[in-house]
Amino acid sequence: MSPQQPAVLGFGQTRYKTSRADVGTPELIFEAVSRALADADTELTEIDAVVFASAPEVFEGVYEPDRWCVEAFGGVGKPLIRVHTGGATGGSGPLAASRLIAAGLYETVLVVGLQRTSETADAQAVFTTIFDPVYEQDVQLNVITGIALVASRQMKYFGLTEDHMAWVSTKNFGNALRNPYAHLHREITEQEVKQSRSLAYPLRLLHTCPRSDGAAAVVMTSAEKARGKSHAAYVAGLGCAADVYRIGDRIHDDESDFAIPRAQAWAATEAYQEAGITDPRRELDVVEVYAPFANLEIAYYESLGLAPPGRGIDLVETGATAMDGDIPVVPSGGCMTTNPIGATGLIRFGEAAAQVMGRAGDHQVDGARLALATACGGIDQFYTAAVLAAQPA
Amino acid sequence: MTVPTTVPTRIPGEWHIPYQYTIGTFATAFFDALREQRILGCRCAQCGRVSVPPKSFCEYCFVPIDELVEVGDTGRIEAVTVVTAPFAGSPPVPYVVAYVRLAGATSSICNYVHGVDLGDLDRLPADIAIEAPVRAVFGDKREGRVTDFWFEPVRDRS
Repeated sequence: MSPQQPAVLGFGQTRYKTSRADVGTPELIFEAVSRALADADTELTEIDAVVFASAPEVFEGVYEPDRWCVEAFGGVGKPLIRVHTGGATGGSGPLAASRLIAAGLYETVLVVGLQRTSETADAQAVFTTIFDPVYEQDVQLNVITGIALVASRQMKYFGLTEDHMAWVSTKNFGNALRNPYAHLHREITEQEVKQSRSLAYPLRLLHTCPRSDGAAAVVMTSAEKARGKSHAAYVAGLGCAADVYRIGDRIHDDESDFAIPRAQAWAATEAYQEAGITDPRRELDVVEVYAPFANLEIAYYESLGLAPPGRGIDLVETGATAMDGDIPVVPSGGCMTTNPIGATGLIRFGEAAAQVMGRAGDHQVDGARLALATACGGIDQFYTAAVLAAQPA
Repeated sequence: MTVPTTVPTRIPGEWHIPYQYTIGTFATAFFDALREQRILGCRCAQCGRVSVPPKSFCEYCFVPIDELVEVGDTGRIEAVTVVTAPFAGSPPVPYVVAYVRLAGATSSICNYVHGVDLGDLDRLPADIAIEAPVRAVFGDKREGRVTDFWFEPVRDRS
């Protein structure tokens, strides 16, 4: 893709729980970073720069958590870059690191993602503050109501039913059972999904994600340096895009519909182009999509070009995205079973890298060579996409 | 001495920071009009899009906008949800939130929808389905906030 292709050497994550009451926030970071360095067989002294990806800090209750956690990610004396694109931050972090490496500015970069959602009593009270204070906050929008609004259009125009959403929830919870790091380890049935508590029509509790405490870290370097290591994943393509702020300005036009987030398509198109992918459904072996709600995963099937427009539900009906399907989506269980928001995109990236390295453990997709990782943030506003490959370009 | 393995303490904290948001002349005009029971948008001279609520520039053409236009008080629902779980600061459940494209507008505005029978929460009531017509209704006490009005289903479709 560029003069210096970026590569992933290692991935470390914490145990995820509703509350990691056993550790303070810097300690949580230390746990993830230590594991990433060990997995990458890399010493802290080899790290040339750190990208800190954390958002929104209202959850931690400490403004500038990068200050608070600098020792815990080994950042003292090193160049430090913080990125912030809401929930997409964890996707923007490795993207920034990749570009720094590709540009030849730094060779080995540590990317750190953090979120503690347990410190505040009400996550949705935090999310209300991301809406326009002039026109939108008085109507008390939050993430759940925002995504319910997306679902309303999917149901009206794109064939989405409760059955499709129940299948996605059941698939993802089932996958999480094979991921020792996943927050929720619970077998659920489609019937349970359909009978779970209603939150905002048509969304129910089991269509959504948990609030998780956790951190993740990834060690990245140049493809050249990666060749000397025992394992590496190679960044084949990257994309990111932002959409307009107000939901009311992007409900639909001649070319797009709020039901099928267009900025995710913009980001994926850029990544595919860079990676030389023309038929993502056939060429990709596995997808780690950042979809905190069951309906969003189906919308993204279309945004990501895995299904033709209006046919995302086909991938549910044929079981194509199940672990034994031809294009498994979130073998890790994804963010419906683990969601430390600012870190979640980095977990998707790390999981995709682990898949193409053949190091995903019990949720390994056999023979995965090409993987896609995404992130979304800001109520379908910020998106990233990254293609990870088993081989260098 | 080794570190005891009891569950560590939590220390309470709170962020309480009041703000005064500067909203600009377009939003000010919008809120002033709400007091007079009118809803304003803006028209981009270059592309003709009518954005409601108004803004001072067009993000498509990236040019300043200098024209405010009044849009109709009726429109159609474009996205809708019935909120059934209480969140911090939200009104009593259940309540309806919808984005509505008002007559003459090319974008949608969000508000509550009142006057809907929410007896059966397992299905979306027909009168708040997407594309259903609604009307903006103003309260008696208007304070220049977006909640000075709400939507109600238009039942008389003559």
